[in-house]
Amino acid sequence: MFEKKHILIIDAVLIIGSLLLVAGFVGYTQPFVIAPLGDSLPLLFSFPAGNSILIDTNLSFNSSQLYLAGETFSLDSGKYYWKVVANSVSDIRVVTLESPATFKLAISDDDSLIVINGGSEKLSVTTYNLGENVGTLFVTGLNFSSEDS
Amino acid sequence: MKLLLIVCFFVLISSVSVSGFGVTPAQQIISYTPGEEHKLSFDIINFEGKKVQLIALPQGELNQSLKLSNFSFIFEPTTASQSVSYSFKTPGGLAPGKHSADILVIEIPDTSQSGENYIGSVVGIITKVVVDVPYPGKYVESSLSVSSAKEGGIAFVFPIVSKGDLDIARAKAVIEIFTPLNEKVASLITNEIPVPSHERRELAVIWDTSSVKSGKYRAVATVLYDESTISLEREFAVGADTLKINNVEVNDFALGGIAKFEFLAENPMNIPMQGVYITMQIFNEQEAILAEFKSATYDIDAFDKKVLVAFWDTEGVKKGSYPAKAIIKFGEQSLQHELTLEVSDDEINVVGLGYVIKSAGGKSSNNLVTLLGVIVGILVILNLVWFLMLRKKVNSSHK
Repeated sequence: MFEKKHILIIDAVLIIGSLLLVAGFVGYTQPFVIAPLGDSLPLLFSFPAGNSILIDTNLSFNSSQLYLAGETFSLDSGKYYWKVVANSVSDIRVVTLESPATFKLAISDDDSLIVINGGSEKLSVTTYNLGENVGTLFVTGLNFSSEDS
Repeated sequence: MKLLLIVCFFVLISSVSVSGFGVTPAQQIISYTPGEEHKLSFDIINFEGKKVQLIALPQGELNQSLKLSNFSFIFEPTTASQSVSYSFKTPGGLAPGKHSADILVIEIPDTSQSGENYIGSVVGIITKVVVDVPYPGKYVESSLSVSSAKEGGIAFVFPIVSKGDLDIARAKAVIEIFTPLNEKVASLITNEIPVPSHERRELAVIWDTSSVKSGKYRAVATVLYDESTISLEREFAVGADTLKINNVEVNDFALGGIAKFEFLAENPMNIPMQGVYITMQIFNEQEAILAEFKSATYDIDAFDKKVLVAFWDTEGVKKGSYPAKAIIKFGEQSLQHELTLEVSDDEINVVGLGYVIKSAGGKSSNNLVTLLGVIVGILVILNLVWFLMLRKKVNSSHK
């Protein structure tokens, strides 16, 4: 009754239908992207220029630690001052960690120094400008996997 | 609402405790029947149990209709209260609406001990008789209330009180919203409802302001009920009625010289801000004010940005970190920003940008992967079953 050709056709229809169903489900629950999102990095924040950062727990930076672009480092919970020096102009930011976090420094295409989530845990970053809350980002870790969560 | 009642209760208690006596009830409402005579009464209560002389005086629009049984009352410390009866004859020819007669009860100061003439104020308390004259036909009273909606946006609420003796079949309101430059930005229509005679209902609509610029707006509303209308108007604000400081910079600085602080201020409102200035306070380690200086005064146009400049003479100032406050003042309002200044030989860094970072978990991703895995697994099994079943059938048909 059924020829081999028929089986192959029905099988092909079933497989293609299954794939379309899965693709449709993924597209419905999140943006229609099945492939990796590309080269986007889990960016926490950035400095307009520079290739290294001094980090200290006080503003005098007399016990600071220097981190270079490309380096990965971890910090415990606490309040830290981050200072980048570029072209004799320094930029200082206050970073308050409510849980330990791992960071990675990198240079972006436009030469800004970017700070990315180098750990496996998803982080929330609330930015304050002159004491005013200007928004919160949720950033997945560079080494994030489903087992980590 | 509960809070309001509690506040009212305490205000009432405090007011009666000032005078030491009170009257109850505060108001009696009677329906309008021309020529009808009402026998009414009120109680005077001696809260503090003191000796006091009181007099009652008819006042108000309908005072000629009141007849008090007694005008003067003497309270002994043992007299807790006295009842005062009076009659009220409803006059004819009253216009629709509320009309009242007041009975003012005042304390006569005791001058017997000093024997001197008394000059001063007396405390009076009023009890009212209110005649509610109905409106003929259809009559509605309304007002416009504008507030922030819980779910976001701006809520426009119209209480509709039907005061006529006929029901209102249909009532709704149309709202047009204008900018300060009289440009119409939105038109809204509320729900449509019937309002029975002498009852109260509400019309409401919420304006989605997610894509609306901050600023002041004017709502012009028309309440439509059957063949009549009521016009209402109200000003309101959307978003934060405030200025923003986007950035603070100090350029070309040398310690001991004059530091030029440049504050980039943004007016997010649709109206100009006038008389804007910044006061900067710099503190030493003991949190005492080391320096205080202010900028000139600026006007910032609607949706515009302007650099506000203030100067600090750093003669005698040492290198180091200084906590500071930048207070921006505009109109009756002021906003305060906490800063830290890092002063070195040739620059002042203003530490204003900061981040708070914490773990945020990530279970939704895991759930999605699990769900997809289950779906793919089921599909693979179905496929295999189908494939094996067909092969079996083909083989058996060949045999």
